[in-house]
Amino acid sequence: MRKNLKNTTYTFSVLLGVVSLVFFLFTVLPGDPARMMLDQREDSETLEAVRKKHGFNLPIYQQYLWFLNDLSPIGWHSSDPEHVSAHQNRPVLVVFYKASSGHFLLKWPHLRESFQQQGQRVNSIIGRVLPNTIILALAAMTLALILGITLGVISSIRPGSILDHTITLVSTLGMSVPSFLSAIAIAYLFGFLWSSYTGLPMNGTLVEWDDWGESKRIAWENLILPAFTLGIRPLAVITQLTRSSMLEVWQQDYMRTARAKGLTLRQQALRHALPNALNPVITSASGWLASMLAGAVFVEYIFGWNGLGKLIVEALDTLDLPVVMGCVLIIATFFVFINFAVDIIHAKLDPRIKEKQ
Amino acid sequence: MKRILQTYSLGIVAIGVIFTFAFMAVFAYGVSPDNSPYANQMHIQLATQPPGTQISVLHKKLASPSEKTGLLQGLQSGFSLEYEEIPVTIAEKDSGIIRYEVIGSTLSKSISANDVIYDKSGNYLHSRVFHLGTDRYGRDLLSRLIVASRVSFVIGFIAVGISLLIGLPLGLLAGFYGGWIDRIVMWLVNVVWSIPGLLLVIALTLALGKGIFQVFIAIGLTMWVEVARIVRGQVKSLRERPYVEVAKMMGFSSGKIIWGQILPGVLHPVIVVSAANFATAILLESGLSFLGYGAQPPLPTWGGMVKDHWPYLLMGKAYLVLWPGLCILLLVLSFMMLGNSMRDFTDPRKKSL
Repeated sequence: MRKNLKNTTYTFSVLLGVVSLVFFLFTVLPGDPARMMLDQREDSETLEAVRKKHGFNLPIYQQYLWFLNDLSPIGWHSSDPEHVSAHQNRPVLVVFYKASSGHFLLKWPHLRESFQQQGQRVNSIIGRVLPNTIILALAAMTLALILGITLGVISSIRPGSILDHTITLVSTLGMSVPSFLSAIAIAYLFGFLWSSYTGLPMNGTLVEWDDWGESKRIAWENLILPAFTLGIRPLAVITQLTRSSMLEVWQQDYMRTARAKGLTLRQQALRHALPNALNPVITSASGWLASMLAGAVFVEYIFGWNGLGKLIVEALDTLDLPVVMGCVLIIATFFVFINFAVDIIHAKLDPRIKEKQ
Repeated sequence: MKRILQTYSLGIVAIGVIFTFAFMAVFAYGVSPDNSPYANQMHIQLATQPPGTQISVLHKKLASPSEKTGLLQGLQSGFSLEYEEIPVTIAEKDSGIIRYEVIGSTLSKSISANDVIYDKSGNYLHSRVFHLGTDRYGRDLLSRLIVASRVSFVIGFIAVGISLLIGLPLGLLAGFYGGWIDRIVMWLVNVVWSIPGLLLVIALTLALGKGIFQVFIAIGLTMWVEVARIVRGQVKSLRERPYVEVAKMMGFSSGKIIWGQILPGVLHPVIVVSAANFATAILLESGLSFLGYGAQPPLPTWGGMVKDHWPYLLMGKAYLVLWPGLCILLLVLSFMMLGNSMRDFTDPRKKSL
């Protein structure tokens, strides 16, 4: 119990570090954000108004504290609509305490407003595209896990054989291809050159308008190529992880026993070796998930998949910093929690870890 | 010996590929057909010509020719042009005047015969071959590819250098002293670790400004994490070894123990992870250049060349993307295989082979 508490505190301290780093990178270092928002139309009055509205005129430490206040699920927000942290527009869940000067409330983390899209809330901009990325990532992950573990097991059965060498070489190749290149190649080959055989489009997103622009439909066929492309890198990583950990398991005494009992190769591999070999695949989940999400930026951009990655590229083009910041924060938070979960699962899977502590 | 060759054949091939690219990068302007700075000679009329295109050009003397570049300086940053290339279809010399038609136009133009440069046998028409075709500005693709190899190598060296400069000391300190130093370093590692490398590099380049040097630094600043983690783990296990205990008992200072006893044991994994980091750095840089955040024109990079030309795929000009893509793939693959081979080589379990 105490250990859980310690883990949770640590996780939050890492999260605080991430938020601070992101704030520092996006707010302190770049030039004048007010000028970024207004582009050419920069008379000093408008600039001043924008600075005041977003709090850019405040000292850095105050900006930082208001930023934390906005991100924290529990916070204080002024009832003065001119205030940097006005409670207007905040995604309020529960109001704990109401005073004339402000509200103390429970809310969704507030990612502020977009610089470019008429001050739309970043929360809702991200909320619109996040499901698409999650579906794409889940599809790619499933593919990578199933294929990767299968290939890893196959190549570990006869290490040094031609099959093993081929699988290792191909998976190294898979790790060496930049995501943008594999996306371009796959879109071109399967979505354009051979599209009369595959029947797949070169680009497209999950929810599409039909030809008459009257109703929306879910276009699952658009998912196939991006999911496959996004899966390549994690697939390669998982294959190699499974292979090397299977190789170690085959050396264990209990595997000799399994062989001595006269179990078939299939039984040995699937019942006895695999469950013990999966540990490293799960504990390094954050590693291959990270490589996957970084790839999503390119894959979504090239396939025109309307997700987080495409949003980041577009927001970067227009210097829409709050949107980029929001995306980075969401992805980083996701990883902090993944690492937290992996620690817990790891201890559950491997009793030796528990004994050590 | 034969056994070693067999086991490490892929690694040996990888070293060969890396050396070939390295030669290309060092002597870029010595081997590229277009040896002007950044291989940037444009012929708008000749955009996206297929591989092997051969044309005739007139070499028109420049009005104010720049000073002839010395060999060493030329090899370093390209040779300045002494003439302007005019791609022509027909050219006739007629009593001190050369009449010609520029490719892509039927307008007849003329130039004084004294204003062109002749080759050794006195011909005013020079032949020009684009072995891999031309890019969308009519520049020689092969030359651009060769010059671009430099960026990939430099990024590798600088990023790995920075990552070692930060990661090695932090990892050594955290692993050796443990306690609060370890906790702070690991917290920092976890924070940086939580932001995917590509996004962190983009954030850093936003903060530092666009440009190739910012990218070098940004990539180095994200990759130290890997080094610090590996070094820390290795030091933690080395610290318990008897010979380190002996050194402690003999009253050696911590600095001396780290330098003399710990560091040599850390070097092997550091070299292995550096080879992998070299590959990662090249991948990251090509990705950034593809998004337009890396090198700015006219400096050629492989990622940037893919970015410039991938729309041309639909026009059946796949070679424009194929070559730069293949270069990235080959170099990254080689560094990865080099890393794998070195890992196997230093793995005592594989020594018995």
